[in-house]
Amino acid sequence: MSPILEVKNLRTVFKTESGNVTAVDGVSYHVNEQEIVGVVGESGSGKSVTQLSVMQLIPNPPGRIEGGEAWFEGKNLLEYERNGKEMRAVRGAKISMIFQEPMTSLNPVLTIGQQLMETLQLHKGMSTAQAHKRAIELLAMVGIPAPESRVNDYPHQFSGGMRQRAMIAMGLSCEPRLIIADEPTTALDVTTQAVLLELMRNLVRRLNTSLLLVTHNLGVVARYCDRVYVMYAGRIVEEGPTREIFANPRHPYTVGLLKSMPRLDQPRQHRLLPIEGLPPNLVNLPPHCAFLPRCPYGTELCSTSPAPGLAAVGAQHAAACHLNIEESRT
Amino acid sequence: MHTFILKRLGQSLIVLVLVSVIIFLSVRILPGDPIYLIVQESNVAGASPEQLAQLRHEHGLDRHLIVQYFDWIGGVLRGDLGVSIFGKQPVADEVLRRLPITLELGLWSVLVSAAIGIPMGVISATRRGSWIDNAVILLSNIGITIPVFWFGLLLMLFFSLYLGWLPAMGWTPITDNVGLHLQQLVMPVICLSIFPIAAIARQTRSSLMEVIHQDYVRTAWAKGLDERAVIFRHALKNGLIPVITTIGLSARVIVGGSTVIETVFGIPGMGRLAVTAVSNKDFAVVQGVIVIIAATVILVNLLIDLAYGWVDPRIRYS
Amino acid sequence: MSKSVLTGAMEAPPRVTEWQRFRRVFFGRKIVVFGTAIIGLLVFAAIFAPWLAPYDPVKISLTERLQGPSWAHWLGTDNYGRDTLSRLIYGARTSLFVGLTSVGLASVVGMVLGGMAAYYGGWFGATVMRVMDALMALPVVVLALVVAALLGGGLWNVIFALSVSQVPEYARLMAGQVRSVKENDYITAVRSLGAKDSRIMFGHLFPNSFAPLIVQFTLQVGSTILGEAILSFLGIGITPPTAAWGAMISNARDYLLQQPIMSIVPGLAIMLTVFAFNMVGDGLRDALDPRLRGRL
Repeated sequence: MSPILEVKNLRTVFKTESGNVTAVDGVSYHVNEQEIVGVVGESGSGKSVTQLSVMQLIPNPPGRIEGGEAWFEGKNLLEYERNGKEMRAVRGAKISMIFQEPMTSLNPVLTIGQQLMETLQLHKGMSTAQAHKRAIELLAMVGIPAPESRVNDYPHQFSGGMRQRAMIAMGLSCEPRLIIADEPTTALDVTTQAVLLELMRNLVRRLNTSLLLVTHNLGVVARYCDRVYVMYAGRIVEEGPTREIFANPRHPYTVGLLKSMPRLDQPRQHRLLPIEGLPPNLVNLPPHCAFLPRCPYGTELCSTSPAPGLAAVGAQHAAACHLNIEESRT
Repeated sequence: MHTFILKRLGQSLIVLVLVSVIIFLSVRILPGDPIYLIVQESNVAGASPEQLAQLRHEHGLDRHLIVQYFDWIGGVLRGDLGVSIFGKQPVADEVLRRLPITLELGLWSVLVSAAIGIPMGVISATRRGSWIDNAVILLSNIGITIPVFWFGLLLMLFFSLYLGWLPAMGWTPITDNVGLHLQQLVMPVICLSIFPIAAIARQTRSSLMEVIHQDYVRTAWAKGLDERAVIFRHALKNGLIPVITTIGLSARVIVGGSTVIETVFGIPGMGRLAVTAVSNKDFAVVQGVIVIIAATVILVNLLIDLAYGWVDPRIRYS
Repeated sequence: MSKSVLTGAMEAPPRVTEWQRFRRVFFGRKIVVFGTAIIGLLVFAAIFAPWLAPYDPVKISLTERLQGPSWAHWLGTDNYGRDTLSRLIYGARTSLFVGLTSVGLASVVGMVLGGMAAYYGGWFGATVMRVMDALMALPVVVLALVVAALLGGGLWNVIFALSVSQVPEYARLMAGQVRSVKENDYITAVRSLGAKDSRIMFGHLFPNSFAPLIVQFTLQVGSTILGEAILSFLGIGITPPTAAWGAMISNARDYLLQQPIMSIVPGLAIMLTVFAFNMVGDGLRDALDPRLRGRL
């Protein structure tokens, strides 16, 4: 397996009234063919901004990609002009995105069909009639009943779950090589979430596409992802195969996330432990490890040394921590 | 959608009735009893109380206010706006002769202001911070501050008196001389459009700038569309929704402006009629003109509401 | 999106007082400073008109009719030989007085009506708002024209006419404000503590509606000055010989070709004044109401 997307040292900065915010700070990751990869982190960890940066969709101003590479099919996407021809040929056709808010991510004044057809006509060169037929097929594929009539509906006539199904249909319409789904189910109720994630996994398998799933839900990661990246304050703090990370977390933040997650394999009276404190202010990041103020394991070494980089702690498994917390874990 | 139209229609009717009541009552209740004007006009020097009462009776002014109102409004509905105290001619004839002139002026002005204002706003919003954006901001700030009647005089001074390119004043029916008709339209339409152009450009700019940051515009970019498709297909249609309101308000401003612009350029329209009637205290005409103006504005608002439904499916299907 | 992602992780920015922030934003734009200076100058001219004006603004001198700019008359004279500069300075008095008084009157009446209509609702609220709708159906100029016709010209009638035509806008604005604030949880909280209606209205609602109203007030002064100019131009406004900019233009109209400066000068004065009030209004909006920042 070879990576279809390889991001190296990505760095994205936002200008705000209170100063420059480094939302993404030297992030490197890759996605292999037909792989489902998870990116986990709290709001503000930079997980969404990372994905938008790769697609050059960061609003500029205030955002700016200050460095890094994003290799896809032998080309560095970040060398392309922001809304230039080459970049546009990748967007939607080879890498597509599914966004978080199905309520606001669909255009309220265009029908679902129009919004589906426009990608097909643009990237596949279909005629209006062909695109219309394909749009109906796509809606049927994502499980929308009576697609022949619903294709002419406007987004507000769809329920939240159906809108997200339509978004998924849009994401899949040109059979891209990679789908980036940014919290695709967060705004939906739990049952719909499960159904849609199942649907996405099956479709991705069927179309031989890779999937990058951005989420704050570790349960989703455990169930669907082959590998996972854990992000904190704009950096990746731990990466590895899902199984390995869940069995043997090596960064205190990952440990905290796992402890705060309800699990079926634990006795019911087991207490969930939230991570104390707040995410750091990205304007003035400390020179040392950004997690230190919230870290239950913190030592003298942590506050005097510069922020740690990722270091291998096992096969394909790396963590950014000075300590070896494995044995101290209880 | 049908219930939406019906509801709006009902509301418009209520507003129209209220306008007629308000204008009727203010003319009757406020100082300046119309009978004295009639007396003055008919030169009945030193009219006796009996003569006055007789005149009152003749004009139906001795009846109960409510009876008088229904009498008047009944006439209005039959197309009878009463008789001018001075000209002794039916107000309706006068209105019918003048209304098309003002409507033509207004229609041209709305078209011109939308055709110029919207592109100005779009260019400004998509080239934010550029020299062209700054130029649009400056021009629109001037546009909402300039006294249009004064600007009209300057235009006249320059294009008619100095350069002699355009006729300074007057109105020629299109059936008499098409060229002259159009030439005489140029300056009044420019004057009436200045404020609306500025208001529409400002509104387009700010609403488009808001829309550009919406999630669905990001979705459009993520699909690989080019800037033209993103702006014109995805952003503009949404961004135009508040602009429709501005165009509606502009219609009101244009009708108001027609009073002073028709005076400046000597155009025999409704605006000029309103000014003359007001200066002459010809209340029969004032009443009629006001009701017609209000009806026009309310009709425009109704059309605007329909336009909303046309642009925004969320309204169309509710 | 990116913004919400970011702010989630940010702590409170360094504390600055409201006043410091207001000053920084308000005086941050040069054009706003310019507008403020113009208004200051106008107020100065209006107050000290008798000392600043070189001549009596109503003194007729038929030997000096229709003169161009000279050392004796910097901006020339009109068809009665009156000094244009002096009339301009006294005209500032009229414009500012009419503008401020009518907007003040309109805003108080409109706010009380709209506030009460929205607060009490019911048939009372509905009636008030429908009457406001009816008044809004007429263009401001037309409405002012009718009121002026019924009452006649003159300073106070012009002020009254211009106020009446603006009341609906304030009533609507205030009603909208009150409705949105009323829905707020904190008003429910205050009421549950047993506060009286009047206390709720004056102690909580009005202060919260203050920012948009002060902005509207400033912007409206400009357009009211324009309205006064229109009425005076149409000959149903300020009665001669009182100096008013609109009447000066109307008067100069017949001498457009002979002495254009007579028309140009008062028009420029109106424009500059309205522009200044608009700029200050925009500046106030930026400084007082951060939600509206970035608008044109």
